[in-house]
Amino acid sequence: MDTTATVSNPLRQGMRATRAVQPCILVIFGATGDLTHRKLLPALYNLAIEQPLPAQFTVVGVARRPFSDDDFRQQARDSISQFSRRPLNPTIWDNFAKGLFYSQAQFDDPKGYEKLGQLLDKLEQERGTQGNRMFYLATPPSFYGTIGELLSSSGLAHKADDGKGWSRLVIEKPFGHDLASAHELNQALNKGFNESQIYRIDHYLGKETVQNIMVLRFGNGIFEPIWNRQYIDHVQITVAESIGIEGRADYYEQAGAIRDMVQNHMMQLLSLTAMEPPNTFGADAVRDEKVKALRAITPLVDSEIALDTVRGQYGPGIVAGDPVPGYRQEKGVSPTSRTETFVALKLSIENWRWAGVPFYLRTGKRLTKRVTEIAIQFKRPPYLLFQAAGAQQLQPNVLSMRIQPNEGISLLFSAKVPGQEMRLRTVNMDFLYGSSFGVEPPEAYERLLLDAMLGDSTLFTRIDETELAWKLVDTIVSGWEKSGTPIASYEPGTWGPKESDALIERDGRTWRRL
Amino acid sequence: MSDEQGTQGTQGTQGTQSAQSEQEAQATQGAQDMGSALRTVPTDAIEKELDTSWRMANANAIAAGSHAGARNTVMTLVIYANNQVELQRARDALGDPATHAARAILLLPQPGEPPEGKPPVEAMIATHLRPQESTVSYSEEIVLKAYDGTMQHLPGTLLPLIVAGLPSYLWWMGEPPWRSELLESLVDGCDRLVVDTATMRHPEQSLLALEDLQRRKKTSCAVSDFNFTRQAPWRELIAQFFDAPDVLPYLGAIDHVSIEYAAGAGDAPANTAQAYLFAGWLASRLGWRAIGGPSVYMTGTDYSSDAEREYTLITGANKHITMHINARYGVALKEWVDVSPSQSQTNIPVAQLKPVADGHSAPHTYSSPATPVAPGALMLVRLRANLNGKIGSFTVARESDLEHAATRAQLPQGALPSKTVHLPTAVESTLLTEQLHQMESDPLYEDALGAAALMLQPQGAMRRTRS
Repeated sequence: MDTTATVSNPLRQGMRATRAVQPCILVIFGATGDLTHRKLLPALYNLAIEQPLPAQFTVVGVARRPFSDDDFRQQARDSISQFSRRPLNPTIWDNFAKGLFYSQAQFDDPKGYEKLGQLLDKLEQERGTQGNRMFYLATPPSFYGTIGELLSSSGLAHKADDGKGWSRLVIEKPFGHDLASAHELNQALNKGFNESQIYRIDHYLGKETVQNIMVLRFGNGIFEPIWNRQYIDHVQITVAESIGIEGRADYYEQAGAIRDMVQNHMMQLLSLTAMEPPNTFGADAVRDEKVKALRAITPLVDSEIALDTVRGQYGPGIVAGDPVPGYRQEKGVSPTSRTETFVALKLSIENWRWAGVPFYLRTGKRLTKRVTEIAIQFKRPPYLLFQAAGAQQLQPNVLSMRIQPNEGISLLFSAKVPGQEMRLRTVNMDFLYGSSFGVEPPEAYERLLLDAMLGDSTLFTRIDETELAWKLVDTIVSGWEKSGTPIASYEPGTWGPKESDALIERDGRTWRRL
Repeated sequence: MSDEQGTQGTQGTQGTQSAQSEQEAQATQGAQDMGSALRTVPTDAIEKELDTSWRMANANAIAAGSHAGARNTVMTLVIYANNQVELQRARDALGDPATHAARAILLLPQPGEPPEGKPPVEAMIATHLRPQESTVSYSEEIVLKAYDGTMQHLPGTLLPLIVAGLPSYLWWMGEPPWRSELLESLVDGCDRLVVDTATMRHPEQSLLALEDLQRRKKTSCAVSDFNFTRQAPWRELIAQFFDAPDVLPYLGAIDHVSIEYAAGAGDAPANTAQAYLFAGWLASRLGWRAIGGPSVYMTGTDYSSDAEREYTLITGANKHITMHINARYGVALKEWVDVSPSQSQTNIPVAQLKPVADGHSAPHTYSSPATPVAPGALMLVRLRANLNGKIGSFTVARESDLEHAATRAQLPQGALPSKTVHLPTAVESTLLTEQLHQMESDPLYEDALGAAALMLQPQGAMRRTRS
């Protein structure tokens, strides 16, 4: 039974945390890996400090290394000491550590699952977790399907309605490397888990500022009436990184910018910006609307791919006075690699709200600065009353939602320059989270882990979202392969190749200077 | 110490303050603050002078290579401080980032009449410009001083300074003069009254007065209490016991509740507000109602507020519940508000704590815990349930270090795993931040206050002597 909150506990009524995590065991596959070390264990520890986890909460680490429970606890202690946003409190730690266990297993060996099952049965008795199990796959993606199938065949995963407690599966991107592999992966996972039991993490959705896109749009009365083709000229979404591939050549050579960023994070930002208002803030109501927006993206045909997409690759250069290698000179990258490190796209959403409003997307590595932003550029006023005052030179109104860094919202508008003459200037109205709220937001993983334990999948990606995004990406990638167009090179520290500027300037528009 | 010294006042509106007071003022505001120090201004020119200060502060910041700060006020925070010490505590609390974008108005009463030539209400202002990682936060501070004889003019000066359309909070430090004209008019001008019942001299009368005020002002002003925020971890731990579906049935079968709080130092009566608020919370969530006043067990010859009290409550199903509210003696103590940390660290007594579980283990002796607790702080909450003959007991108790609490649940099938949480010594700025994040009324607190007031209604305690 996939029950979520304990709404029937009257002591919860009126509390800020009205939802409560039921006693459960979190089984982490890949327990000795980097994700567990840097993100998961520190996030769980912070959740333990903030109290939402029940006393019965238990963690079982599964990996290939021959660890004992104590080895795993020591590793967890190191992780928390190094990466937790709160310092390690020895008393809290001692109690938290009592709930940490380890089971050695090869991810593809059924015997390991048998042993794990015995441990889970024992812990369920001892710690009162009532059969509730959450399996977190912090492993290389190539193991996802195997683990999903073995969890099913070994009987470790309970069916959604078998009355033995709930089972959930959490997986990290990438969810496949194209539509076919995503479909295949899902089929493998579906043997043990139905869609309502699968939680696909896109950590962007755990960011407070991404969640705020919905609050800005649907929690205010003034934006939604002008959030359409009548008032909006175009939308720009930028996800720029200043760093290179940071030693992840194996992964990046296979993925490239389009799989690494566009298929997941950028499609999430696009769908949250373009979606219709959902009826409720429930998981399926929100995701239904996001899917409708994705479905309305006009598929690109081959001729449009040449025109409306740009791919680039950074060459060698100098950043902040230091020489940096080009992508093809990075360790582990083929000297003839055709993997893109930059993508710019022009997409159209063909529905009543967005017809004729282009969405320009750009993402890349080794760009000028690290910045993620969604900018809504509004149309100019229908009649330029202040032509003599230089109104034609003014920037149109832009509402920008900055996801990182300097999280906030700003609005550009025109104002009169003080003086006898009528002169206009563009000014900026800025809202910054840091200066207004002054509180440290939780890490994305804390929010997402808690939501998954609560059974709230609003901030997780549903299979149809994933598949629609892959469909779009597959079309573009196959168009690139067919056309064989060269990859534009760009200087590190710039905003990408000049072809990217040409893509938007052709329409009489320019990329925002960020 | 004179008021001028205490608030780092200056001598005029034209920026003629002495170098010494400038330095002192900047030290008070912190090294990062690039705003202006407190300076006296005419009360009818406060807004104009704030505007000038903002422009000057920004010009200085830009000249120093920093960013300009937007004047993005998000709230008005009115603070009534009874004396210089409280005023300083209030200013310290304003150092918290959550209050950075606030307009703070600090009120300071003065004894007697204004000296010759002084206005009935004196005003001083300062602006604060604090560079953060990549942005600058801006806030305004106004200090208003009124004398006993001119206090009636205070609301007329203060209320127009509240920023229209934004949330406004009134933090009254210490025990407010309940039903006074000043309190009533300030409460009418603000959206939320914030108090700390832990620091009140007459906590039980104050809970009753607060409940009365909350009821009368329900539609215009919400009420919140640092003391209720402090016990949030206790509420969470007790609630968590019953989140598990197989434990939930025990909640409806509770027949005995014990609440223990740290007694006052020596013979001083302890502040019972936290214990009653916790009892009120339990009663309001579970639909319990107190029948009559408490049976008071005399621990000595005198009736004192620290005497053990036994209440009988009745559930919606007419079942009786016995509730004990007892003081725990011999606990290492400190004040709720640590005014002089260096002094509070000395002479910490050895604490003799009662056993934390069900009374079967031997008492422990703990020597010099690092963090003593405040008088009135919760020490233990124990619930006992009888579910058709199956006994469950659920205990949350402070650990020997006094800064952590541990849970213990014993059911017929065995004990549940224990959980330990840190009970942070929440400083005032943190508690204030919690209140500032609440915009609307807090039914949880209001219900708890209402139920606590029902228990505290004067209905004649039955005095008994324990045999």
